[in-house]
Amino acid sequence: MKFLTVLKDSYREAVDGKVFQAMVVLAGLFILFVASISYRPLTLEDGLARKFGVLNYLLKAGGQAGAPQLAVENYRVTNGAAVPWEGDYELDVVVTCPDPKVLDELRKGNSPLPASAPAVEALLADDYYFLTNRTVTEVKGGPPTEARIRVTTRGTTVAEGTAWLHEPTILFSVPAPIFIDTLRTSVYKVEKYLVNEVGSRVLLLVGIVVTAGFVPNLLRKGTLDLYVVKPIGRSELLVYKYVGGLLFVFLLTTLTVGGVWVVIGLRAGVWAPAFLLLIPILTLYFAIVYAVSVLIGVLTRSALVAILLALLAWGLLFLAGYLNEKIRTVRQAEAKVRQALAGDRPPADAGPPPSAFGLPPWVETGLHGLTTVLPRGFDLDTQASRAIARGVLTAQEVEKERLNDPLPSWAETVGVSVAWIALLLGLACWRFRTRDG
Amino acid sequence: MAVIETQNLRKDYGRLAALKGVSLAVERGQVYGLLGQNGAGKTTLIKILLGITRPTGGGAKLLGEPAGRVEVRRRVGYLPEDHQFPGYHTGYSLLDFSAAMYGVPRADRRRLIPEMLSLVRIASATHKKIKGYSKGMKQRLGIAQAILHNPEVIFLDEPTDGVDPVGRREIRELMTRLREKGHTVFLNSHLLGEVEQVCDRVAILRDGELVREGTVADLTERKGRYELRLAPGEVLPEAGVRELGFEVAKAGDGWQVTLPAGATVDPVVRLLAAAGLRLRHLVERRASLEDVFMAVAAGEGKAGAGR
Repeated sequence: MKFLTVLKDSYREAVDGKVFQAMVVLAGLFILFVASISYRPLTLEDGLARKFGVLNYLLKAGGQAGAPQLAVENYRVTNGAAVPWEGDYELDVVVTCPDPKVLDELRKGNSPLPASAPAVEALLADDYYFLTNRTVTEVKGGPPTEARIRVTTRGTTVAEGTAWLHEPTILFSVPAPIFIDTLRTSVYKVEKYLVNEVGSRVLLLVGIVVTAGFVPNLLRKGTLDLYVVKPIGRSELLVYKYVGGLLFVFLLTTLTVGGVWVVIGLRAGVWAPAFLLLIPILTLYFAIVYAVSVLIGVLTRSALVAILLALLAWGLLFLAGYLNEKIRTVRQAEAKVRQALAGDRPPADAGPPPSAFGLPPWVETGLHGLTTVLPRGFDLDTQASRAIARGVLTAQEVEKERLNDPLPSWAETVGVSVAWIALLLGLACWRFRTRDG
Repeated sequence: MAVIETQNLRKDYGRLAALKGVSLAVERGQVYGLLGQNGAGKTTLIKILLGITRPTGGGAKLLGEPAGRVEVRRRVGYLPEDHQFPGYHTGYSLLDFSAAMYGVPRADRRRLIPEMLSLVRIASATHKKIKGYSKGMKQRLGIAQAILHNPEVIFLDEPTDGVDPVGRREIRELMTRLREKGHTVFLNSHLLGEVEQVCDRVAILRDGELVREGTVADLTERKGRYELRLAPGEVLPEAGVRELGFEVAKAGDGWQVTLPAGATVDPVVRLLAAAGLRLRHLVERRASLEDVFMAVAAGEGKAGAGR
């Protein structure tokens, strides 16, 4: 009962500052923004027209008089498929140019402009490799200022809609052609960049600011006596306050991540449960930083100092992890190169490897040591990215994004982090118990 | 059995000795007043009894248990001096929080809280945020949170601070009622008249030492000093009184007679009767608690009960 009472007290404190309500509104707006992103499957005609539109613009911008222009004509879905990834297609790629000589040069040369059947085939092979049974032939007999190449396809290698190109629309009505990608890649980018890298950091930042006052306010002269005179141990009281702050962020995270998961599911049809792993991961991340904030709050009784040092700790954890990861990547690349150069020969003793980024060896050793013993904030970040990727991308795509490199185990990451939380809270409790007043 | 007991209690803050071996005992059902100038150690003593501050030496017991234990705190109420209730609470929610921490069941809280807010006369501000309360209202709320869970011992540190005269009277009456119901009240106050009116026993601290302790009557008694007045127009034979070994001084329209050690006032009465003088007023003079306190503050006091 005391736990719930203290929790309710913390809730009142958070709600009274209106920050909690502001955060809920902010989370709602964030979810609404993600909900405003829709994904329209791109037809073959749209895809080519977008590409040709950009090319036409660039050709005109080049300032050449009589520059060639590209267009798609006579587009047909010959099998009447309801969805584009099941379609058979027929269309003409048309290149017009006021000067027939220029057109002839384009036909003969190795121009990337699709003015000949081989050039169109090359374009399709690059961008539309999933269209199968392609036939590309030049249609003769047209005007001398026009090159017409007919394309027919039968079937695609795309088994499902998430692998087909989609054009996102943001804010419900604004097309965003620069973000055209397969549906699952688009969703992956929204989840990784928009939610995990921007949204989660804002949420953690606000969480730190809102909860930093909980402990200093408790320790304020004139307030502390009212709490510690109650029949509750000081450590118990402090831990309950800590859990209250944690719960605040957990609820906000659940609301935000859960809300985003639902709207992405509704808008894109992608229901990836792995995305929900962000809830415990972000909560654990916050738990580490909040433990620092609580300890500083007990030591200094200042919310401002608690905020600043918690942010500093967050930054240092990230920086140490980031640098260590970069060095690790360099070492892996070096190992691969050495292996490739050595072939089947036994490795020669080349002495110690040169230092990464020109850093002294002790920096590398120190960073490795630090990231081993410190809370695993960076590893949690990486685990979050991988959870998102595994939930949306295919195994090949995960490999391509280099998200299969070995990582410390979950048990190690969580274990080291929780041990740190226990240590920081233990110190805070000890100080709180032994202080007068 | 004493519900509050300290033995040679000491507290040092660095080189500053806040309490220098204080020993006192408070019996159940008493209203016990603790007096002293600012910095005398009154609040430190209460904080040690409640486990908020650790003693440097000596012992303190509350309800028969070592002071500060969680189980003991359950049976104690406390109104701190200069308290700052969290402004995000309303009067109701603060009492609800406080009572819940003391383990009062929800149904009882729902019944008791409105009653208590009415008792301390802030029912009209039940659901108003505390940050909008006046100082007097906060003080009344503080008293309410200290007694809501029906504690056996109630510590009130300056309970009438910031309260208007009507409110002070109500608080005094409340303390009297609490005593009648068997509660023990430990009162810290600067208002000597208030302490004099309501306390059964009083202790005076000076610079961390207990210099006076006893009932109000004990402390204010001045043995051997009498005020007397005669019928209009009659004059006291001062020389005759002095010959009996008494000191005499004019005091207003009468005289003040001080007895030598071990003497009674009877020889003076007989002298007046023999002289045919008519005695109209004879009363042993008592000091006010303020007189006692001022004397202690001036350094006249000595440790010990009733002195």
